Amino acid sequence: MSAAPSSVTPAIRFDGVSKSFGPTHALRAVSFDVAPGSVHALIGLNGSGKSTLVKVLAGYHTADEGAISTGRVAFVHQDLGLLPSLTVLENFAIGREMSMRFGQIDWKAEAARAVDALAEFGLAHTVHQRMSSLPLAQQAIIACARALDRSRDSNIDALILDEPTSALPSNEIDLLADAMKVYAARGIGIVFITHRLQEVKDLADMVTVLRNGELVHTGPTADVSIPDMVQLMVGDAPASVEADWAPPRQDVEPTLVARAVSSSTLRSIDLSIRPGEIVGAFGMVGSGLEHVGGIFAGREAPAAGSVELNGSALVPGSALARQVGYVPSDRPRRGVLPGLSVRENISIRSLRAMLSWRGISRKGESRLARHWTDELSVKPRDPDAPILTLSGGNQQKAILARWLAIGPDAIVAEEPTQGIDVWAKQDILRRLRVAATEGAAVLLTAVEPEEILDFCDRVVVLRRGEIVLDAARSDVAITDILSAMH
Amino acid sequence: MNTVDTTTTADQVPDRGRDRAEATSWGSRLRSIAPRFGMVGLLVLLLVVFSILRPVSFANSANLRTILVESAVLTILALAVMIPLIANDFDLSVASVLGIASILAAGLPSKSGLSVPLTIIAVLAVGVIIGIAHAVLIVLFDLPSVVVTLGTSTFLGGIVLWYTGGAVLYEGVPTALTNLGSKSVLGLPLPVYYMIATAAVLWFVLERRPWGRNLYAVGSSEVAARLAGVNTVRTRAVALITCSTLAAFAGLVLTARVGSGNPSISNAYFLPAFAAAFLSLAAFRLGFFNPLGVVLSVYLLAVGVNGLSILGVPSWVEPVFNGTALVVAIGLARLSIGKSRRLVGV
Repeated sequence: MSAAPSSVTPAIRFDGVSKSFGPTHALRAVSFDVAPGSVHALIGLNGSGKSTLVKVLAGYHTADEGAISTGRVAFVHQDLGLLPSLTVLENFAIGREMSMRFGQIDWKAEAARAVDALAEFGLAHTVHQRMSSLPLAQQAIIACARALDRSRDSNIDALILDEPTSALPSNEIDLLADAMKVYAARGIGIVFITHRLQEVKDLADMVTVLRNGELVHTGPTADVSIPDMVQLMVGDAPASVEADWAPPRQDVEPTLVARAVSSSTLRSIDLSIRPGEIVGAFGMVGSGLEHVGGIFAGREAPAAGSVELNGSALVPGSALARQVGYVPSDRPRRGVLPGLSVRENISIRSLRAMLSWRGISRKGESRLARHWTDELSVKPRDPDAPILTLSGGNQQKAILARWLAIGPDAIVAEEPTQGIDVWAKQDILRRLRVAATEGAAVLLTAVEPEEILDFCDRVVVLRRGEIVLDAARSDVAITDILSAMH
Repeated sequence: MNTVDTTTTADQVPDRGRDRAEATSWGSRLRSIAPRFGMVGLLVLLLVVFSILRPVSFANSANLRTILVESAVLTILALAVMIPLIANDFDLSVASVLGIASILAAGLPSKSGLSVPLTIIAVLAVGVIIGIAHAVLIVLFDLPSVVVTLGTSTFLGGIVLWYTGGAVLYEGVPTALTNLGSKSVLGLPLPVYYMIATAAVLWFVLERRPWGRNLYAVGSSEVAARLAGVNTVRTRAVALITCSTLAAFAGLVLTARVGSGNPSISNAYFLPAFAAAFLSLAAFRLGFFNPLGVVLSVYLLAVGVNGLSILGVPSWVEPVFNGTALVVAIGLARLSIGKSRRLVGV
């Protein structure tokens, strides 16, 4: 299936779409067509403008300039928006007008409608099953079918899939691919946003690449290789930056050592981190990376193998494991202590040191909080502000300060720069470097290597639960890392 | 261009800090502090109004002393309820623990001939054992606290019926025990001192000891507290054990004061204890259960009820007053802390 001839009305036409947020140009004059009946992949690094483009299309943002012409569009977002404890049928019916009969929900009519929507994917038998009992790929297809069902009275022109595959195991992606073919055959234009370049090659007819808000390439997928796509996404970024710190010593015993660590997603990982070393671990969602942080910080037990801190095994819940600094990726739910103040969020691990017969020293605690809010330039400077009144970046600083305050031998930070502004990012990464210089072993994990790569001494890439690249930062370029991830 | 951009933003950041500094100035500081002491103001208002309306029968030291001592046991029990609530654990069995403790305090010396010191130790040990059972079931086995304590509460109610046969135990309660409940020091009966000591110790450990901070951290988010290195298992277990032990202590004080063990006494304590614990959300540390708030809440309700009864209002007014006060107070707590946070998580 190649690009449709230009005489056909496109399913979506982006015509010079620009959008700025203050001084930041999120999109600059982006123009391309999505042909009816084609699968059009949209790729780009973090911050390239993909999600802004989707939000403009969805009407969440208004374009500053340019126009989008399209008919009806259905969206399926990354988290699929399903209710896992309900049945497939209930998921279909809830949230829209339901068929009623004698004042009750007409489940027969609802079931018929759901079966109708699912039959062509061979999923009609699932209507009465609980959503959570189905494989993720089937859930993704059901989410798509539901999105179309919502607007079945009017014909859909385009379907936007915003990273629906990011959580799928690779062997389930074929199912979704078949579903996409069914929709394309109906003449629907599909925009498919993904981080996985192999999927672009396998599933998409056309590919559009965004970089820093600009469209840098659009054309048939057959014309570009995966290395080409990486190059297009990265542009001519410098291969590496000069480190302005001394390389970590190689003649010391490693602080944090993982021996043959396996979990549901990791396969026999060996990795050791020396004092003073910052290791960046990268991988796509589904690569097993999401379990690395918790296991290395001793917060989760591996299924097999062990992680040792200074030669002693880390057991979750043990006093030793609680000494490892851990900055979880899900900051709102797992990082901050939401009801408490900035001061209390920072001091929670340092209270014993400030204890006298009069209890926790008020002065000592305030001094500690003040010291760290200054050190990391936490705004506002008021340590008694409730933590939730701070921006994400400042919350992240407070969580990091919690650990820096006890001077841990090892710090594990998942997605340390996720959802935070560029200044906070610099403050956090610089302070982690200081901690490393003072002797801490640091492990950072990220699905988007460009965020933190330049602050690492060593780079590890995970794919399908295995380490596929382990090299000094100075020996690899970002293109090598992205290629290893895909 | 770049330099200009950076300066603007660098300026904006301290700007926000300055806004905040201004926000903490006089007028708004008063506005942010006033709600914390709203209930204190209400208590003062009630005292003044009742004193004006009934200068003789309300505003005399005997009546005020009655209010103080009559609610001492309830205050200790409400403080017990509050402890696990801080960490979002409900102990619905406190009133039943008070009940069995009160019965044992009367029955062990009279039926089994135990000495008073041994009786006190035995009664407190029963509280500790119930607390340990709760900790094992709720914290280790991860069972819902509401269900577990509803079960133990019902269970203990049955044991009390078996032990007493449904009759009030009033014979043979040693005076050595009742002295502990009726003797006065400096004009105030001993139970008032027990209550003050309990509140003071709880204030200290909750506000000034790491365990207290950890307990509030667990209540804020258990998973975040665990990942932050808080020993959540120990923190919650200690809270549940302290709760049951304090409830047993309250039962002991009750028997010492009234000189008998009543098998159906626990019904009268259950709802007021929870009401006072929840009311503390609206005093001092807004949105947080806190011991001084519990003490204030118990006495706010006690003064209200006492004053109303002296005014001669019928008895149905008391529960109506208590219920209204509770809902109004929790509403005010919500208003003052905003919607960003849950007040109580089950």
